[in-house]
Amino acid sequence: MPQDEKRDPSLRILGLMFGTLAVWAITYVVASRMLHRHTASARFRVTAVIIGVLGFVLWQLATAKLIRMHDEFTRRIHLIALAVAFAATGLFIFTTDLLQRAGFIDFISMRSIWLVMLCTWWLAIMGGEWYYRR
Amino acid sequence: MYLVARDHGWRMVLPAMKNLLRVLRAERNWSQAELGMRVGVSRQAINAIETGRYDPGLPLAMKIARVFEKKVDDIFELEEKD
Repeated sequence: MPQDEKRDPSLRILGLMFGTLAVWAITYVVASRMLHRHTASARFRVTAVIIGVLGFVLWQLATAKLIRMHDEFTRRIHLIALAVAFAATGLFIFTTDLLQRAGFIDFISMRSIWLVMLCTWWLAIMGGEWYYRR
Repeated sequence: MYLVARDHGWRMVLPAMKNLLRVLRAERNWSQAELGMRVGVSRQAINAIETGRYDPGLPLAMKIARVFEKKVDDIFELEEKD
């Protein structure tokens, strides 16, 4: 039997997820460095954006595959967590927009919005697990 | 929660599922993990169903009914409280 068939499929997907996470980080750094050059070439800048986005899409696909291979109960926890993250991110965007217009805070990076979504998604997964498994 | 038509107007109904999973499992001396393995879900999923925190979808309910050699209706019961 080939070595690949002996391995637990969930471990394979987990490895794939961490692998794509590393690819995402690398492509992001590469894209950022390319854009930092401020080259006038539009083709160069488009290539940088595509490289950065591709790494992210790969990670998203691996995450979706990881969620899909779980049972319906775990998928439900993820679904609720995504809904919570969506609502929390909306609240964050709405609040920071008003705070900016009121002059209380400066410009907020788009990356911080993604970070808020990622953190609330993770916290909501923990919360969901606690609620259903206590 | 949903609205249903009753004799004199609409009523808010809070649906709740009751199940005999714990009883049936005890009769067969199966652990939650063992039942989970038989139907392809985690022990935590079985625990959540038994405690009423999670209502399984139709495919899982049918798998559970199959391993106990019963009908879905014999295991799961819908309670509607006004």
